[in-house]
Amino acid sequence: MLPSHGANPHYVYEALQMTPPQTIYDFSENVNVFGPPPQIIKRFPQYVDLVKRYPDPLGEPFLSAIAHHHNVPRQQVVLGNGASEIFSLLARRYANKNVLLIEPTFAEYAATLQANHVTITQLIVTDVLTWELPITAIQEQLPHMAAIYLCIPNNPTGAYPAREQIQAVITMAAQHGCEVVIDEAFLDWYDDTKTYIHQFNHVIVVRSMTKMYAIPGIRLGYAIAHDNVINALKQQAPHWHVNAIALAIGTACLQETQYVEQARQYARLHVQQLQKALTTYGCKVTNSVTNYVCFKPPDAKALFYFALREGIVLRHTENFVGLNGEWLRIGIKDEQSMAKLYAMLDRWFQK
Amino acid sequence: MTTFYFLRHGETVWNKEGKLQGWLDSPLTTTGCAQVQATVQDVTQPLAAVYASTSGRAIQTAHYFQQPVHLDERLREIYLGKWQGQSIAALQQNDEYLTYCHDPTRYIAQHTESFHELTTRVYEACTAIAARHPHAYVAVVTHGVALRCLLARITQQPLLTWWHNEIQGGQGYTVEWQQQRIREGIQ
Repeated sequence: MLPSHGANPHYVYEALQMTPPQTIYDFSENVNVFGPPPQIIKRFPQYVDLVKRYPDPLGEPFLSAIAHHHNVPRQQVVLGNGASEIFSLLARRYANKNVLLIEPTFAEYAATLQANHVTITQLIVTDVLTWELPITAIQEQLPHMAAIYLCIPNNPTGAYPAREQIQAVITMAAQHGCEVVIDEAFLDWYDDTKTYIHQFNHVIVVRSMTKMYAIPGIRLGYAIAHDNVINALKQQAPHWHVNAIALAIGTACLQETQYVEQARQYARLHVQQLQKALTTYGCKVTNSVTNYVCFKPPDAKALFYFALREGIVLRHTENFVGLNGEWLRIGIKDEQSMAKLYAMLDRWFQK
Repeated sequence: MTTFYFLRHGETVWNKEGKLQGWLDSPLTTTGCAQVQATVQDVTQPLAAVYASTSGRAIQTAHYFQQPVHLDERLREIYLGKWQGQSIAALQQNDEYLTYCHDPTRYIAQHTESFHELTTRVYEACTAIAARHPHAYVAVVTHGVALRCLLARITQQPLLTWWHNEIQGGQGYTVEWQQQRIREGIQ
């Protein structure tokens, strides 16, 4: 029915057989609205030289740069053609085993796991607003599991559960020989000091360059875990799976500390504003620490269609387990787009 | 003895629109949600486990039990190949589809799954589930055709006996697995 991913607004109109208006404002994806760092754009012609040679098979210079950035040895890092490739490799690791997913969460885990004949068990969080973990239920299921996946900060809610809860899960998992896959794709919007990188032998942290640096077309992600896990994942990856331009751009991005700080401040400000407005309109709003907001209006479907007719594409939640399509997600965009959004919300809620 | 509560998922958008789903999917309608809620309320026995096919509509239905949901792709609906996404009304012009609908014993699967393949996988999944929970109540959310084939297999009756038995959204059957006893509804 509705496309199960954000970021392709024309597919949404097509699926609903609606004619898209002249101008479309796409709030359905969460990439940094400021676009790739200006330095990258400026340097782009230089990357052309890289085209005629094979990329470094080990992923240099990015491998060393990212290892240094996170203060881990290179042996504990595996690169990916996007974090999506990492999830594909992880799914293979758990082939024919049992994996526990805490929902609502990124729909791609289930897709990769099913493709590898992994038996999935789903548990819904105790509270969508805070992504509070169902600790007792997790405790009951972990003994049967090869791995548990935690998306924290969570997509689609943007919420970050209590550290004590996350720690409890990590401890329980260790006791049962269960791995913990922590997807930190959105952590750099919140607080990098809260990373679980390099802390536990059975924890695998997955990161992505896509969102913060606005390079979804380049495909660059990585995982950090114990050497044994990293070696196993590396063995399954195709040769030269990360291209030379991605490696160069990724390395350059790591210099852009001011760019990152600006993006965080902008997102924080606008998330707060949007949360406030939606609360005033009587919606339930999640405690988001990322660059998107998730909320439950009285009638999500009607609002979604109303917004579409006005050229505003929100992210529906039909394919997020536990949300039953009753919530919507909005990615923070530029000020002009946000103004259009607020005008539309005003019209909708004042009716 | 394993007692299964087999449920068909609640009514979906495509059910309402008269479009074939098969391995494709659409979410539950408001009616569908109500159907499932009503059935779930009928369950008085504590459930050792809840299983669902990997289709979104089954998953959505299964989570009404408010317990961990174990997914099993063998519980999916029959694969309907080229017909998936098409309107049932339009397919009335299709002889092959009419045979599938009205004369299933004569239906030869070409682009779809066969009834035999479907029955084998669903029955296999249930056998495994029963072995895992030999003395318990288990809920299993599956699909219209899958359920009819399964019930025929359990009772060792011809498919035709169950084929014209329309199963509503959210409708359940209670099955004492080892005894091969079936009762309509949740009991």
